[in-house]
Amino acid sequence: MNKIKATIFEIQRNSYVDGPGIRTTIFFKGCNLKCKWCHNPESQVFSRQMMHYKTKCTGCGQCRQICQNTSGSCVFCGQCIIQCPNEARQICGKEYTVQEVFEQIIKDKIFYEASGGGVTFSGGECMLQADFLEEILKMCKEAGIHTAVDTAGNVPWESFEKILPYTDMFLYDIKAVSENLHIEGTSVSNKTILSNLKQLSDNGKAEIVIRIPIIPDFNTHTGEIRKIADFLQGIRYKNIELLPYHKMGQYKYEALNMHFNNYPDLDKGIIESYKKIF
Amino acid sequence: MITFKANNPCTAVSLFEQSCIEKGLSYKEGGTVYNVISPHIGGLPDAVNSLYAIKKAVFEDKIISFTDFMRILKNNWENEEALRKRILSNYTYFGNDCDEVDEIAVKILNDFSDMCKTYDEKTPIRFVSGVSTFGRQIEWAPSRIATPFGRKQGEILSGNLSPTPGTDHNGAAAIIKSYCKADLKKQYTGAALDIGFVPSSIDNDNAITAIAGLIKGFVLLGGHFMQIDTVDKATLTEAQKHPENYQNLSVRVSGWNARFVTMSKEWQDMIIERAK
Repeated sequence: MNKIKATIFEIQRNSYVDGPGIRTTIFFKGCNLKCKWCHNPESQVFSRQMMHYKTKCTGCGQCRQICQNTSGSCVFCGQCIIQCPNEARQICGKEYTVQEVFEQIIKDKIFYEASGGGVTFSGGECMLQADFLEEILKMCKEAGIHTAVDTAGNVPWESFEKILPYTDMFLYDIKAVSENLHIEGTSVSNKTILSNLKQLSDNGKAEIVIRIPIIPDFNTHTGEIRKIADFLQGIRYKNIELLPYHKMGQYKYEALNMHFNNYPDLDKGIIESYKKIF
Repeated sequence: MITFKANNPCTAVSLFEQSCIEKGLSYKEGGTVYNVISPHIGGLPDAVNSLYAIKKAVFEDKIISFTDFMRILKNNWENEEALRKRILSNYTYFGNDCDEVDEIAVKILNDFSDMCKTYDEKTPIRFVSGVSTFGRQIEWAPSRIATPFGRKQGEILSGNLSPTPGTDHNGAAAIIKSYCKADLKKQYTGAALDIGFVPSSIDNDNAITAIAGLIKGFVLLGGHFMQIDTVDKATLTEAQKHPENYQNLSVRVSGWNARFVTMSKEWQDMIIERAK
């Protein structure tokens, strides 16, 4: 039995937005980009985190009374969560074995088959836990389930090689092609990301869906979207999804005591105008 | 024992049902080949959730004694807000594809149809079971006592065989799976399931494919009665406040559609409660 584990922060069943058909999306914890607009801030660090939703908290203090921990750092016993009458606390991240994740995925097989759906591995950056990913993808393929991997692509090409035989589709994120802009928005260079995409396009058989987050004041300036379109001229892809910036993750920044970068609201018409570029 | 009623012959039904005229007998006198009386149960998901909450809180987690629990319910959860929210939010209830809970639903449904079966075929009238509330959960609400899974006296509970509003967290596929675990063929006269979608969650092309897949999966799993609706709570709340702007808003009630603005406040509240 394989004892390899991954930290996963959400298993979302019945998703219609992470690839074709009805899908179960597995969100891995941990990412090596730090996108300033990230809508899942709880996905960034690998370890488990205690989330505390301040708008739900009434300050009753029952969580502090029950806490047995004297060391100062949380051991994630979960007693405070059970005690809290307001659902204001939540542990983000749980360790799963390959088998445990598979048991969740297989539950909706009948719906995958009925809708042309399947499983999508997302994050965070699922490809940073490539050994686990390889195992779970293999199991899914053996069970006849369509597999998709949602990645930012900032991993060694060897990680792609590991999973290529078992991956039907990549949802590949491109934030910017201008390197300095990319560093400014995500804190990392995009060299590996772009070269991996080119390799995947030239050598892989998996379908590629390009996903571009449209972030006001980040990539809506200086013709960046057009530059992305130019780069994609040389790439084999199935379609492009433009993902409009939204602020629905703001409450999670508060729950994690993290700073929220407030970008301006997106002008809805801009998405339509960008669609014409591709 | 069920007997025929000759004093209420259902003339119009008898005219249109096969063999009433030939036999010279009305529908209720046994004029048709098949004549059905079918008791339907309602509130099943609430009963399931209640039994499950007792099982967990009293017998497994031992956070409260049965006697104390019953006293608290009698007092409508008064001064027990922390316990109420804890029981409501820390357990998984019917409609989330959780076998441990769903098994209780299977058992109740089987027992119910088996009980009906003991009366069946003793007369020409078939006596078979089904599940529905078709809106009657509104009439029932005022006489509802507090439930062990954290609902207070008088709250609207589940409609048909759908999860109690606010207790399902895993989406439509999981609701359908919970619903289909029972052998629904035993519910001869139907067991209705309502599925609601927030419009913004299905405003992409793939969602149409996905909903078609849900319907196919539903049928493959043995489901036979599902009604799908898509409207969000905000729109409904607005329509209640400003009916003049929403004259054409049509909602699925339960086996039929109705214009929202023509419904009474109680019925509107039920539809709003059901929407997410």
